[in-house]
Amino acid sequence: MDVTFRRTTRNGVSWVIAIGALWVIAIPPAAADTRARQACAAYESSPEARSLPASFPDSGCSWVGRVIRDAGVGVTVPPRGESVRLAALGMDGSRAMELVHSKDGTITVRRDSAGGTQTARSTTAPLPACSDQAFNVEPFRVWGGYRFRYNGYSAPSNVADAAAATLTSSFSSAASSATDCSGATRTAGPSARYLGASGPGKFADIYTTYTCANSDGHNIVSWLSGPSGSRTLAVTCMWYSDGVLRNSDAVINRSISWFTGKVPAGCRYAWDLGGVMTHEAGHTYGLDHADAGSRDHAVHNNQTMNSLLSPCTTKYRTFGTGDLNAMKVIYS
Amino acid sequence: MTSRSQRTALRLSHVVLVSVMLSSCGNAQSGSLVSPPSPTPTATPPAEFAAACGKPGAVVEVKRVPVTITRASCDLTGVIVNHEGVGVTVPPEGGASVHADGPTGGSELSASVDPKTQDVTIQG
Repeated sequence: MDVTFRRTTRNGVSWVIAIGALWVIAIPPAAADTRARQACAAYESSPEARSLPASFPDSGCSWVGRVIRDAGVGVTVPPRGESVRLAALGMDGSRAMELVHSKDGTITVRRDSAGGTQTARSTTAPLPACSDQAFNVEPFRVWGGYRFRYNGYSAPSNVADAAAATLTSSFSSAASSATDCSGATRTAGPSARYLGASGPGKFADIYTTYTCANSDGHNIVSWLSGPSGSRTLAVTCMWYSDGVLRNSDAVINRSISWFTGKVPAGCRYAWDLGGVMTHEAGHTYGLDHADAGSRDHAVHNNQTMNSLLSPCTTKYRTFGTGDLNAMKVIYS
Repeated sequence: MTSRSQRTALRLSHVVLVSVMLSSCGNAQSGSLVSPPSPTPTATPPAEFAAACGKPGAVVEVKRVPVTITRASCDLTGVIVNHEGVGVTVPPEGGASVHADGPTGGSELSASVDPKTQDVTIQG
């Protein structure tokens, strides 16, 4: 009797502890909503994503137009039914952030830094571009064509003259799935068209704090000086709804050493503008990082859509097999 | 309901469990007092670096950190150094490059270049 009673009591206590732990971990929806409202109502204009629930209703506070930041990047909350995604490519890895504002008013923030999940691998040596099958896609595609303008203000002098042509080549190359892999199946993506220089004062809708601003519907690529000490190469913001891209802008960090054409003699720490912009064009067309959600960036280093691109090489101007797979999934 | 031997065995298992917990606490405490090994420059770089010396853009998987590579033995500028899934690009003279995983990871890797000697130190 005594043992049975103690066992029953122990079981009861265990259940109470388990239910209590679940309550603490899962945070009741009401508390989560309150947390979101407090963050929105606070004077602090740009709450950190980590201070917010992963998903919360937009009721009780005006979220549209507010900036939510995470790990050095940020996005401006779009109207209901619209979403925004940011991809920042750095020389020390990448940052991605996505905010979905559903039609029913739920705001969901997803954060990702490439290398989030540890995966055991037998090898870490880069796979050849033409045999690496890895890819990931974003939750949208381009319908019709992608038409963009370029603002060359503050472009580094050594690439200023060739930049517009390089960008045109990059967006066209990605759209046509240009590859050096012989026998590979190429999928025609959206048509890419350069509309010329943007007007004075017309820049990409991306703040110097690597934050996606409000979309104006015009696709623009421009230069900026990133925050001091920034090691970000380029940032692309993509605004989409109902699975279709509505607008995509990109900024290139002018503080980085860039080159166009051939790899400069003695190159040690400069990046190929064409290769990096082919990568950014991939984002615009719906390609995510090949190593997103894993720690395989060393393995996929030969893919254009890898999250860590090597300097002093032009190999990223054309797609590898994984990049082609992504285009095939989206556009065929 | 329970025999005396069963009760004794139960008590013994509790004693063992508590002992294990206490000993592991002791290890954790003593472990925190041990400072990490300081990287000592080596005349010849570890074997994994050999193929990447003087080749910007090459990718190296480092087996152990911290490690310091002398400039005289190997120029790693522009080389992507990777350790346990985190990677950084080795910067030019006097620079420091840090990859800190964001919300989900917690791993960090840095490559710093001594402004005087240009030796590269990789730290996790």
